[in-house]
Formats: sequence, structure tokens, C-alpha cells
Amino acid sequence: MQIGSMASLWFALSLPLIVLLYMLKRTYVDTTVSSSLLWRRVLREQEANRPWQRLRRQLLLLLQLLAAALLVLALMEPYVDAAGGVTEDPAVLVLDASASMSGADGESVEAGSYFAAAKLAMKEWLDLQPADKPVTLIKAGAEPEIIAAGGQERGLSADLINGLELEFGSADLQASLSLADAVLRDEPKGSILLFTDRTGNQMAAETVHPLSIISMKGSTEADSFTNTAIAGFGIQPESSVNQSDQTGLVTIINYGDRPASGRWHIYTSDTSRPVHTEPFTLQAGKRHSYKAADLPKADYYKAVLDIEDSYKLDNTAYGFPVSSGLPRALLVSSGNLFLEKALRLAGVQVVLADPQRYEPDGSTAASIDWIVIDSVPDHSLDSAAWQELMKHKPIWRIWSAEQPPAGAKGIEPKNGSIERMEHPVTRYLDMKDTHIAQLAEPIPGAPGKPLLVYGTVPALYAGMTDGKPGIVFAFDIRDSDLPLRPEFPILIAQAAEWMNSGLVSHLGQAAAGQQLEISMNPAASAAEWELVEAVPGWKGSEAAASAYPSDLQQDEDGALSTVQAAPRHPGLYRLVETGPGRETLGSRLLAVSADPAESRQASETGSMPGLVQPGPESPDAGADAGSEAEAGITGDEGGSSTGASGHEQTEAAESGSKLMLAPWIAALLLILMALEWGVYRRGSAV
Amino acid sequence: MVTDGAGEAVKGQAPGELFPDLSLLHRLERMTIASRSRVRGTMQGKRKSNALGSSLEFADYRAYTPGDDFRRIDWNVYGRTGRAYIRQFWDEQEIAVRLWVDVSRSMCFESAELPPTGSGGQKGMLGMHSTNKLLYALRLAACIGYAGLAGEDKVEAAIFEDRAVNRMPPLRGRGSAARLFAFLTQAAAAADAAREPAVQGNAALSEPFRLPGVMPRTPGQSWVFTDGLYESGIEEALSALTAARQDVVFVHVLGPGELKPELTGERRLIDVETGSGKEVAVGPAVLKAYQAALAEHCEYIRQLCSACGCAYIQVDTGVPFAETVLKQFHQQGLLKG
Repeated sequence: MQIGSMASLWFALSLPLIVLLYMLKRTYVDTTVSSSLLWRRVLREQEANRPWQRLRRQLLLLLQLLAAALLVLALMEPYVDAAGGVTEDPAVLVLDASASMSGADGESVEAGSYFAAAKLAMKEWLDLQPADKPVTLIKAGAEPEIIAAGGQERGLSADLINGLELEFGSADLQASLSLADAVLRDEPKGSILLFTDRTGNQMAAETVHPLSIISMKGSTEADSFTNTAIAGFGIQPESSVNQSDQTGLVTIINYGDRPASGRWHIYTSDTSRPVHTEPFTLQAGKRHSYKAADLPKADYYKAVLDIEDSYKLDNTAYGFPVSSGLPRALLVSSGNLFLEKALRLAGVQVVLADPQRYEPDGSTAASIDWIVIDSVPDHSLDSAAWQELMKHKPIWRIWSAEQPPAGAKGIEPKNGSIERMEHPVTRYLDMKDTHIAQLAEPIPGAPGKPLLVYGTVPALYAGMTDGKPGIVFAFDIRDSDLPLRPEFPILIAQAAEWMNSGLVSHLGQAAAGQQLEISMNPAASAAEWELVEAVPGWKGSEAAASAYPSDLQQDEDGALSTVQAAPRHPGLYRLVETGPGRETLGSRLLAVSADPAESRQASETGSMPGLVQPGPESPDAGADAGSEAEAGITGDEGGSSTGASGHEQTEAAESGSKLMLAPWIAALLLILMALEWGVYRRGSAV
Repeated sequence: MVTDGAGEAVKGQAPGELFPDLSLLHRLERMTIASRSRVRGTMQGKRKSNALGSSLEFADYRAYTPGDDFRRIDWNVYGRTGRAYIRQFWDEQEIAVRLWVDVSRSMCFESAELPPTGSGGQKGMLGMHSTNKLLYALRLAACIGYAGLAGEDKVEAAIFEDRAVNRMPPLRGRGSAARLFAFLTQAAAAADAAREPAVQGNAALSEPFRLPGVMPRTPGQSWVFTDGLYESGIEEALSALTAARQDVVFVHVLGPGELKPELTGERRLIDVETGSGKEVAVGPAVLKAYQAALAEHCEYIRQLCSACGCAYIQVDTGVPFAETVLKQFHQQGLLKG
């Protein structure tokens, strides 16, 4: 037997109180007898004139004490485990940690989100379970994660549940349920409880063990499930000529089942006030694209929906301007038609500069992205203006064996063999049969590793220097038959692309927690995510902000891994790469959003999409708005009933696990009262 | 033989208080008090005496000596033998029946919780309940006394209490029955009225018998009617009476209040004689122990009696006294007829 309320033990003080009252009360009835002679003899042994002895023969007192003790026991809420010592049936809790769980409606508004409400419900459920019930907790994120494994000792505590965090990616519930089944494979009596905002109809979930779906969606009022989302947000230049003005294209979609209207704003990185504001009204299930012209130039743009709906994460979207058109290169050469044509073919605006006649000025640095120095000796570029320009821009250097760099000399390769390293610059290239007459060797300060070795002499280098891409050709193009080869334009295009890579100022969009392939600055020894702005509209954004900056992963060598996980919380982040001396090498922006699939999920109220309810994006959605609403309501009912049955199952499980003893004690008390009345009536004690 | 005259005389003295059923007296007239030995009284009576005298019961022959009553010469023997013999007969004498009635407080005590028993449970003489031990003892004494008077015995009655004895002169003849009844009635009432409210201490039973002049000088039969609730003195009293050549009949009168006390709960038991209280929580176990103590006490008295050669009879006032007299006394051989 176990005790529910130990504090009620204080009521046991009533027992000595009753005894005290009995001891204090004087209830002797004066009775004259003819002689106390015989009585004296009787009482010589059991003389009962001392208080405690007086209590000895008091049946009524004993009964009252028994009754009081039973009352105290009943107040202590005793219960026995119905299983009677047999180990409890294990249970697996599956917590949906998808982004849509950040929404709230009905009762969950108080808790903050479905997720918080689910955690509360989980803790309440746990409190009702016997301590030895094995409980396993699985968090259903993008991948199922076992938070606590249920052994004999329950390792699941309220702290552990409190520590759970929402994942803003998609949740693979089916995988989690399969895992739950696997956990319970040896336990035929085990059960699975799924805490989610979805409803039973939404999941074609098949589990071996009984599954109780506890839906966090509280009410079924239709307007509780409105969700309007920014489906897309793009920034493009007004025209290829005038690049200073940008046009924003916002696509808004109404996932709800009733019309939604509000305003949408566009902010830029430079202003706290919206640069564009426009009202919108959308029918249920409709989408529409809006255009905002003449946006000022900025690092990034933010589109925000000003509307009340249950899922707020998709009301904010970030957009980045397309990097300023075509890359512009300064070709420092005395004239190289093949190279110039190949560069133009690669989409590079080529600005020709003769080192003999051209001296760069301040405007040059702004108007070009990188420099190609074609067979120009160092001494021609000695001037301070050239040095300043070369210091800040990525350089593609083509050395000539006739005018080699200082300390090097031109040599003729011993044979025509080609060794090629795999690199973005050398992709798709074969270079067989290419002939190079002479090469310069060695090349001081060559970036990266040699990608091509022609007859034991390195011919081509590519890499990053100080966060800037760089390429070195150790031979003059004129000294080889390379321009005649069909690979030449490919090589030049790939080299130009390599030179352009340093220009990218943003990493684009990513879903929360998504694995990204990021080309890191090779010089960077460390990198971190910096939170620029968290997406508003969900509780805990402040707490999440404290998690940043967070360092990026490194591989075994200690170098930065090129595959990195995006931050787990929606928002705008800046990837900051730092060199060994903690100097900042560069920064790029990344917009992290919750899984877009969750936007629709948040508005789903019942039936499985595509089966009963026409998808909001289906072309006939508008025409069938009425029937859709009906279908939605039908779905609501189905969903709520499933949720209710889930709760019922839970309650049934609770009552099955505990057998409350209070009714039995009450019955015992009634019998006792009857007995006491009988004793009182017979007057065996007054 | 029942004579109407005697019965009327008794009725004239209003014996109704003692005898609600006068038919009992008629039955008592046919009974005599058994004496267990030949008596030696002073006057002629109906009892066999250990002395030779004039009666119809032949005892012996002896040779005639001058001076003998020649009317007692057996002439048939004289005719056959030529010698004169005198026929001797046992003498018949009266016995002295002495009635000792205890009128102490414990005898007068009447429990408030007595259940109505006996003759309808009505209040009888002196406002007493029919199961009152004193009333019962008085009635018994009156019965024995009447039987004695009717049997031509000498009857003496005395009531005793603590240290006082109230005696009446010897009575003879059925005609004195009314005086006996009156004495018993008045003496009990007087004792009840004159009793001091609180007497300290429970005197021993032997106290009144030690008073000078109380002990009878002639042999006889002494009936002691008492409840025997004395701490001490019972043995001494019996010894004193036996020493006075009394054939003692100890009538142990106990009421339902003593035999089957129906007490429950917490009680302060107040001794009516000493006034001292005793607090007791009465339960089945206590009552059981009480019964054991009572049985032990009765057995103690019985053994005392048998040691002294006394008759012991225990009567229950819950039983109608006519039944006690006619059946119990008769069965015990105390009354004959």
C-alpha cells in the first residue's frame, strides 16, 4: 500500500485528543449498592480508578479510536498498485518537436505553445504513474532521439522534460513511432503516448502497440487555426542597368479556411521602420504575390506579415539582394585576346588596363571585383596605388617564364605528362595533349596547392589567401597551345567562378538544423554563428538567443568542416570566420526558417490533406471555398474526438494502475459506526 | 389443624403487610419446624424430648419403685410374672424457636435499578419492593414464627443491627401470632426510622451477639436471617450461638442486586453502610469476577455453617417467598408437614 498524502498524517493528532477527552471526562454514575464488600474483592486486582486503567475496558473508546484512525488513513489517500507488485507495463512517450508545436490556441495559449502545453501534460501524466513504471521518452525531431530510456529505474524527471527544446525542422513522427515500437518489442503490454499538435487522421500511423494520441490542439473553433504565411520573398534588381534600386516580391498564402486580411511590411537591414507597407486580403486557401518596387539597397531585407494567427514563425521571411550583377574584373595585360574573350564568355565584365598607361585610383576599387594580371612583371606594378588595389582584391596571376617572379626562373618541362588534382577549378578538365613550352618555377606565395603538374613542374595553383580567392598560372598562356583546346574556356570559366566565390555575401536560406555545405575560408581557423535577429512570434526566442554565438564544427584535423548544421532556431544569422589571430576574415548572412511544411501543418485541423480536405494550393480551392470549410469543420470534429479518446485512454490507464482504498475505508467506517451504535445502545460504556 | 379463630385473629392484626396471600398461613399451620435433635424444653410441647415423660411413645420398662405413679404399671406383665413394672414413655416438650432478623442498612437497601419481579413488583410494606431483603427476611421470619406458634413451640423474635438488639418476650400459641407480626413490622419500621444517616464502619456480625444478656439461656433453635454481607464476625456469631446450645439455621438472604447485578459502564459504587465510594468501569469481565467473588463468599459461609453444625440455606428474594417457604424450606427439611 502506498500513501498519497503524507501530510494528512497530522490528522492523527486527533487520536490522542480523543483519548485525552476520555481521560478527562468524569462520567461516573453514582450507584449505591448494599455493600461494596464483594466489589472490593473484585477490584482488588483490577482497580480502575487510575486514568489510564479507566480506558482499558472502554470498547466505545476503542471503536472511536479505530474510526478516527480509519478517517486519518482515508485522508492520507492510500492506494495499492493494482498490479500488485508486478512490474508496471512500460510506456513510451513520443513528443512531437516540430516547428508547428510552437503555435498555440485554446488552452495552450496560457502555456505559451503546444510544445510547452505538451511538456506540462507529460509531467502531469508522469506524476500519476507509479514510480517504478518504466517510461521512455522519444523526442520526434528530424530524427528521433531517445531522451530517457525506461529501465527499471525511471530516469525521466521533470527537469529532463523541462530541458527539451523545440526543433524547427520537420519532425519525422513515423520514424519516432517505429522507434517506440522497437523499444517496446519485448513488451507486449507496453503502450505509446504521442503528444503532438496533429490529430489522428493526419497520420497514417501504424504501431504494433496501442497508440494514444494526445492532441494539444485545444479548441475546434475554426478561426483558431488560421495561418497566413509568407511563401516566398525574393529581391531582384530593378533592371540590369540600374542596380541601386531593388524590387521585392512577396508571395503570401492563406492556409486557413476563412479569409485573412492584414498588412505586410518590408524592412531593410539599415532601418528600423518599414520601407514598404501594404494591406492585403486573401480568401481561404488563396495565394497572391505582391511587388514592392524601389527598395533601397541593403544587405538584407525582411518581410513581415502583420496579422494575428496561431503560427507566427512563418510570418517573417528574409531576402538577400542578388549579388550586384556580373562580376567585373580588371585585366591587367598588354593584350591577350584569348583570355579576354574567354573571360567575357564566362560572364565577366572585363576592364582592360595596360600597366604602362593605367594607374588605378579610388574609384577603381569600387568598380571591380577582382584583378587578372597577365604576364606583367612585378616592377610594373610597384606604385602605391597598384599595391593598395592588389592588397584588397583577389588576384589571378599569370606568370611568364620569360619574366618570372623574383627568385624564379623559366624552365622547360622534361616531358609532357599531366598530373591533375581534383578542384573546382580543374573540374571537367582533362588537359591531355596540352603542350606547355616553358614554366616559371618556383612561384613565391602561391595560393593553395598545385592543381596541375606538367612534367614535374607545378603549372596551376588555386586557393584562398587571407580570405580572398587566388589563382596562379605558372606559365604564359601564349607559351602553350591551351587556348586552342576546347577545355580552355571551361578552365577560364571555372577560374572566374573561383574568383567570384569571394564575392558571395550571403549563404541564402536554410531550414532550421539543415545540413549545409559551406565553402569555408581556408585561412579561417574558427567560425561561429552570430544571431543577427531572431524571428519574433515564439516564446523562448530570448532564451535561444543566449545560445549564440555558437562555434561551427571542426573535422578531425581541426579544420572547419565544410558540412555544417544550420542554427536550430529560426532567425537571421551571420557566419563569422576568424583567422588564427582572431582577426575577422569575412562574414556571410544566413536566413534560417522553420520547415516550410510546418506552415501548412499548423493550419491543419483534422483530416488528412488531400483526402477529405482539398489542399489549399489546389487550383479549384477558391471555387470550392464553401465545401472546403465544411470539410474543415468535419475534420475538426474527427480530430477532437480522437484527442478525447486519447485522454480517455490515458485516464483508464491511470485508474488501472492505482486502486484507491478510500471507498473501502468508508465502507469499513460505516460498519464501525453500526457497531459503535450497537455498543452505545447496549451501554457497555457510557 | 387449622382453626378459623386463629386465622381471624391474625387477620384482625392486619398481617396483610407481611402476608399479601393469607392462604400461606393456612398451609403453614399444617407444618412444623423440624428439630434435628431431641429437645429439652421447659414446658410441655409436641417435640420429642430426651427426657422421659408422658406421651404415647413407649420408651422402656423399669421395675416399680414406691412412689411411682401406679397408673403406669403394666398390668399384663404383672399378671404374667407377678412383678410390677412400670412402662416409661418419652416426654414431649416444646422447643424455643428464636428468630434473629438482621435489619442493617444493607438489608434495607433497595436498588433503584431492580427489575420488577416477584408479585408484580409492587411496593409492599414500608414502601419496600417485594424483593427487598428486609421485607423478605421479615416475611420468612413471620412464616417460621407462625409455624412455630402453630406447632405449640415457644417463639422468640429479635431484630439486630450493628450494636443494638430489639427483642420481644417469648410467645406461645397461635393466638400470639398477631403480636409477633406486629413486633416484626413495627420493629423494622422503628429501626428504619431511628437509623442514623451515616454510620461509619461496617460492624461485624458478632457485635450484637456479644451484647450482655442477648444469648439465650435455654437450648433452642435459632434462625438467623441476614444477607451475610459482613467483613467479619460471622464465624464468631455462629460459634456464640452454637455455644449457647442453639440449633442454628442460617438463612442467607440475597437479592437480585447482589446475585445478578445489572450494572454497566463507569460507576461509582457507594456502600450504603459505610458511605464509601468505589469507582469501577463495569464490564463483562468485572461482572464475571463479581460472580466468582459472590460464590466464594457464599461458599465461605456454608463451610462455616457446616463446621459449626449449622443449617445453611440461601434464599433469593427474586423468588416468591411462599415458594421459598413451602418448597425450599421443606426440601431442606427445615419445615415438616
